[in-house]
Amino acid sequence: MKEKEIDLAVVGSGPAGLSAAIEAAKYGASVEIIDENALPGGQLFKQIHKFFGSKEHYAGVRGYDIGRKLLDEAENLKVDIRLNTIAFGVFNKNKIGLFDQKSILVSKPKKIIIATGASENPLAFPGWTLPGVMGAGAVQTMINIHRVLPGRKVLMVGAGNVGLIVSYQLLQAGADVVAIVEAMPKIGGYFVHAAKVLRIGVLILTSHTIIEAKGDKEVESATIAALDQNLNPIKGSEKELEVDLICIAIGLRPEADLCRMLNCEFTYIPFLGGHVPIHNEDMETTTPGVYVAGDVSGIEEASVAMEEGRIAGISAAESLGYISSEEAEKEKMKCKERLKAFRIGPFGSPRQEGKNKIFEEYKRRVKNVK
Amino acid sequence: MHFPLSCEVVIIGGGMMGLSTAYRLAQAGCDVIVLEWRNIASGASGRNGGQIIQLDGRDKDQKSISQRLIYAKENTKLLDELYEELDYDFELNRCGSFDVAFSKKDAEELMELVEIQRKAGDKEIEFLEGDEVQRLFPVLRKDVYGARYRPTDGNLEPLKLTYGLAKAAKKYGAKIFTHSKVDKILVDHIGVTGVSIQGRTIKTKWVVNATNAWASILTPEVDILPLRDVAVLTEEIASIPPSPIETIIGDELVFTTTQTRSGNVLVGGRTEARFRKDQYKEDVTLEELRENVSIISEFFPSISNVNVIRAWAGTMAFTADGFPCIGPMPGVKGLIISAGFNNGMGYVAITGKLVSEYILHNGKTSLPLDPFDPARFYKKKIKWPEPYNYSIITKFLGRL
Amino acid sequence: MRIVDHPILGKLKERKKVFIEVDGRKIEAYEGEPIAAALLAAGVRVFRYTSKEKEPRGLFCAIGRCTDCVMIVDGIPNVRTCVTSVRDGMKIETQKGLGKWRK
Repeated sequence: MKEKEIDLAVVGSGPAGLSAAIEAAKYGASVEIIDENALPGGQLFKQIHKFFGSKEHYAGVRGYDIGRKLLDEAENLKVDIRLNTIAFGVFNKNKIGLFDQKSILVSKPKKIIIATGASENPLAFPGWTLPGVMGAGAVQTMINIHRVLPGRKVLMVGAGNVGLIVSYQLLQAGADVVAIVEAMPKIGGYFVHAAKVLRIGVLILTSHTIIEAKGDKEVESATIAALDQNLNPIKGSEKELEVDLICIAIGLRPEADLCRMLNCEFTYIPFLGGHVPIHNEDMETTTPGVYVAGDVSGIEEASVAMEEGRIAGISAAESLGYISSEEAEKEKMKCKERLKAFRIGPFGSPRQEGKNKIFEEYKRRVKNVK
Repeated sequence: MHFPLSCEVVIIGGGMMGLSTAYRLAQAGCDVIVLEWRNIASGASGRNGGQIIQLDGRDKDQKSISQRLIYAKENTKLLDELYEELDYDFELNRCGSFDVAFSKKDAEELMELVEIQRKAGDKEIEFLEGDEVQRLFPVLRKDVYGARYRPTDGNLEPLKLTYGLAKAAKKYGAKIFTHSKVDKILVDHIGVTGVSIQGRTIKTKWVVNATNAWASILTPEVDILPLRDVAVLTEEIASIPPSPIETIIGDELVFTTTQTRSGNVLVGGRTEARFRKDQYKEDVTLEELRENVSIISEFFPSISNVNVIRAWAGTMAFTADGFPCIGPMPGVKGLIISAGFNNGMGYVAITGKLVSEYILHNGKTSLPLDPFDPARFYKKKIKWPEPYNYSIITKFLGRL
Repeated sequence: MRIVDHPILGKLKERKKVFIEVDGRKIEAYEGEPIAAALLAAGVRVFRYTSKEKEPRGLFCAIGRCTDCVMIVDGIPNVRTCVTSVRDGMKIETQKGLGKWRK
């Protein structure tokens, strides 16, 4: 088995992974990015809408253009990007087992950044296994990357940002979004996204959910119902909708299996997606030398992923000795300030609270470990 | 944790042996508790392949074969009865087992072995020619020279068996405490007085040490050797068929496979752990993973594209003559050892019966416990080979 | 159904076409795209039937995690069609239960 020694291995080439690799490479570290997909950029290339925020957050730029910019920067810094390569496990504490569809390779990095993102939460209901019930992310990949429409009449389950954005993208792709149901009494996503679909006349039904999907071999209809304050379906409120595609957009959870193999400790923060690997403000986990960035460290957004990636990359470069502590602190502070500015308001502050809980947990655990 | 202040029997170890005994004792109305330091079936009971291979190994000693046969036959009968009794389907499948020869020399050895076994009273064991094995097991590679075959062997789901025993024991009133590590077995000049756990004392007159690979920690007077094995599991595939296959090649390679009811193929075999301290590691190294996976392409070439979904290691136990230790410890009234197992399925039912009989009927058991007497190793310093692995140990025991 | 024109992504660019066989039927696909995309474009959504209840299954996560989309590809069962690219002449079959391994 071929073994390759390297300063830093970054698992995941999404916004967090790319940003991390760019920072570390800027300071001279030898960096390798590993991604199981055929294309780099993670979720960025599916985002055909314009981002908003500050200039550093690429306001006004479409997701896929941001992805391209980051990719170019990484390539210019001679970062090695291994695509179609799955990191199937970590062994003997610091050997990453890689499989590139042909043979097994071993990466022996001094530091590791896990930026593997998140996966969608499933929702079980009668008929949920019928072809035609899919994750909203799955549908987004099909329509925006592969230019294939998996259905014509859609029921979207979940009115968070993913549900709203994908509904809009389905409309752009030529589908008819019959309704969006949201179990909570309020729309979970940004109003900017909700407004876009409402303007076109899509029905957003809050305090509603899907009860059943029906069809002989595929989805042919869906039954929805209203919910009372205890989130129980109200008898008699059932409505049958003629749809052939049901998208589930009820949240994401960190994909942190590699962190578990690295013996990172976890804590449970519902607002950030459930079980998250504990880390400090420098993005280091309870396992020294292992960092996390992006959705894997708590579900937030691409802009946050980029900042966290930058912090992780700088921290790794610092611990490798490529940048002095003073300079590292200065650079990290800029990212941390931007993160603070991004985690305010009704959508941002619960995330800041969640992250604060994680940082407290880190202080508690690492003190004990020492 | 609310431990009782006292009870009739304390069983240390929540694996299949401890729980088999707990089930029988509770069923007979005994006040029994089980103390397990991790979770039920965390040790070998939850990590083995569930292979039912009645007389394992290639022991040629007729006397020892005849003796094992008595207990093996009784265990088979009791295991089938357990399948009816327990309210838990542990997927018992008597689909036969194969000990395969990949060379003419091996085939001749197996033929010889089958003759010895039949003379010793085993009516079921047969030798199959290479082409017959091929017909029954078409996915096996072509150069098969023959196999030792027993149609009544097979496999089961060991985790479900252990859970089933736990559930039944609880039904009859046994109390099972997990994450409960016993610090010490307390004795006075006569025998057992209790166990010390998490700063508390549980008073009892009977303690069963059913901690298998870890038995020497609580009872250092009996030398039980831990042995690690590695397993990989494939995705679910169509039947290949499910029968366990074992083989030994040139005294070096020993591997075993079987297929679960759900269709996953389990491959056990090549481990790196050589020294005693490494035999408890439950992580798998990359090299071991690769070695076990290569067994699939070496022996089942037509399914070499199968996806491997899990890998783990576990620790079983050996004694210096290959028989487990089941019975009372000399000089310590009330201390029963139930450890040293590396063929769980071959002993699970009979062990529960004999240990519970010993406790309930003041030492009277339906079959003699002599072959398993822990006294035979009492305070003996066994010269184990070090380093060691499965092949070295079985050769050392004369069973290869 | 292929999205031929799109307000942001523009017109569907010309790409190299390949042919795959699905349960004996020839289907057009674009070189390099995942099998699942080609099937969905052709209106095929049922990829397999489960072992016990013989229920129809198809694409669910599209990211190679859930294994609901597996089919028999060139004789090998349990192939995840959402992360496997098409190849000219590829033979794809609806998988029934665990399928069969070619000898």
